[in-house]
Amino acid sequence: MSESQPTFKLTLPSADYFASIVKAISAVVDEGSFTADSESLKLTGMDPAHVSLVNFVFNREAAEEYVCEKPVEIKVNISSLYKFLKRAGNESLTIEYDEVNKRLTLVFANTAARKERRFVMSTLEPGAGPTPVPKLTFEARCRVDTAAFYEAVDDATIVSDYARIIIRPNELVISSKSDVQTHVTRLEKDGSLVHEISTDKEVSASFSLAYLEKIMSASKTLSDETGIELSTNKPIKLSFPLTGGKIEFLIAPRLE
Amino acid sequence: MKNLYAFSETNEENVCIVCHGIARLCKLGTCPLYRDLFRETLAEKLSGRQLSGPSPPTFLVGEKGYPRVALGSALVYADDINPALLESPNKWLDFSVNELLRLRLSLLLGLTTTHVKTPINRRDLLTTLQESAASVKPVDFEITTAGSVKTLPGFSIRTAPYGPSARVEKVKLMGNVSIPRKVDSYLNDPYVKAEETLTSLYKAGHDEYYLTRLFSAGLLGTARQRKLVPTEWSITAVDDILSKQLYKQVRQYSIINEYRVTSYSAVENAATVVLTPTPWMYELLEGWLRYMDKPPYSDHEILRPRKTYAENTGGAYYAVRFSLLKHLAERREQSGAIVFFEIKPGWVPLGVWRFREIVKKALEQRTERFQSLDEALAHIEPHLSIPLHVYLKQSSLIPLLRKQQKLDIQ
Repeated sequence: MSESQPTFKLTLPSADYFASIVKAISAVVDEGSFTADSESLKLTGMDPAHVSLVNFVFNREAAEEYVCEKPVEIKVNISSLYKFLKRAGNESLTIEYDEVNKRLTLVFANTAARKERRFVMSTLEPGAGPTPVPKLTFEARCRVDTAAFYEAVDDATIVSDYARIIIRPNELVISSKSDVQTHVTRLEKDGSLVHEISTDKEVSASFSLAYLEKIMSASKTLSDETGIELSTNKPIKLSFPLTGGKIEFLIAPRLE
Repeated sequence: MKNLYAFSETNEENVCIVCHGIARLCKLGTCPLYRDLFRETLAEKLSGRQLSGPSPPTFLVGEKGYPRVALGSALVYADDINPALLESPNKWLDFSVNELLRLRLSLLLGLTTTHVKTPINRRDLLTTLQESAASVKPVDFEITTAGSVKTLPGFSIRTAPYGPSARVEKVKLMGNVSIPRKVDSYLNDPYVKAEETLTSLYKAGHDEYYLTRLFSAGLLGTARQRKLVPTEWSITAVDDILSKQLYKQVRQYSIINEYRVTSYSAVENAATVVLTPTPWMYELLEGWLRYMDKPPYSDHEILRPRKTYAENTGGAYYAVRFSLLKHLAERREQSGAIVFFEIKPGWVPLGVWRFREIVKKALEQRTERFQSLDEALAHIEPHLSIPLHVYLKQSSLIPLLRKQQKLDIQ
């Protein structure tokens, strides 16, 4: 196999941060297509049941080095990619894609120790391109402490298969119920865990915890803050701000 | 050690219809179910310390006292039974519960004790037993017992039962064992992982029962991995490993476009399978007619094989999932599956194989096709012995299928 110049190259100061992003992506898709152009690296994908969607964007400004000669699609098995990335320690990461040989190279480097680790994986045949993101508008928005929100979601799993999320002008409520058990977590607007609530009315919807818990569990280390956008009985958007980019998830509701 | 048995599996103990839940107190000579068998053949054969006869082969490893466990093989002491049949659960559905009991209780178990990792000082004995376990054809044994024969039959949660048992001092293989060349090369390769060997041998046509025997006998895996595995654990481990491989295939296939219903009843058990036009998701609903006051047991997974143990339905969950994924992989199709599995009051514990085989058989039956979940459920409702609404209360997948919206139709 002949070596060729990488079509795409990205260097990040922190390999384990990128590992946590890929872990979050893996909550939705098993195989995913990264698309890169001169401005950004992106990935959108839906789970096979079309209930949840992930939308990841990483702008070139946030990278130490970013080279993309022409737009390229890099389709990979996300769990295989994560298997390598979770080996990351306090190292920088360089990702190189060789389009000719369909190979993705991950280089972990610790410059102080002059250590370099290199993993190479084959990529998959590109698919039908990126998944279109549904255009949605939301009636309510809030920003909440990630750990507190995850705890509420995790609590709900003890009681039921689904949770109801309510945003009121003064509070965010996560609740669940079965025939014999109930659970409610209230996070009030004036408290330290809710950073913002923006709505003039109450909105609510229910979501399967099989999706909500999996996404929150995989994403809880991405950011201290989770953005929640909601309309009554419509999909929820969960977003996590990243340095120089974003990662957000949509989950379709359950209609009770 | 964590309790590896599910809540439903505790029902498998204490369900003997003859001695009303105290199976461990029965004796082969007194139990009406098998005393005739005992009278005919056993008394005469067990008079000396030397016993000989064919073995299917059987290889059993107990779990009590782990990591020091009892292990052994079994001889067929009845003359009119084809030994190979006794370890071929894929042929057992043609028999009644009583006939199956008679077959399995014709096995005399010869036991020894050893550490799972170190074949201690009686290495020859262990090697002989391991070698016999790898045989695809019946083998002939001559055993020397170390004491009297216990006429207490052995029933356990997942393993098929066996008859009398005795401690053995010596085991001698008479004649040759039949080990396929491909199997032999894996047994002699200390660098291949057990998962890889299992997958490769399964693709080469060896069934899950043979593979479970190899796995249990500590014959698979890298040199460091190899150890004896209690049979009850091996059954579920092999089901899980093979299912995960089948899942990787199935998730690539196109999704069916209708609800499909099939069912099958045998040995006091009945399975109704609903295949759903969805990506892979699966739920087992297990109802015991003997315990109608208890809700059915249920476990499920959505889109991916579950990572936590199916603590309500245990070994049954993995056995049924294997048969479902095998069926889908063979047909190169993908679907979800909801399985209603009913255990009738006449059931005696014969092992987890019946979940696997009955569901396999159900999937071979004539299929009813429906365009909606509610039509499919309306069709099966009259055939269930436990009311549908009782199952619905325990189901996670049915409410999900009814109520979950999709993103692309918003």
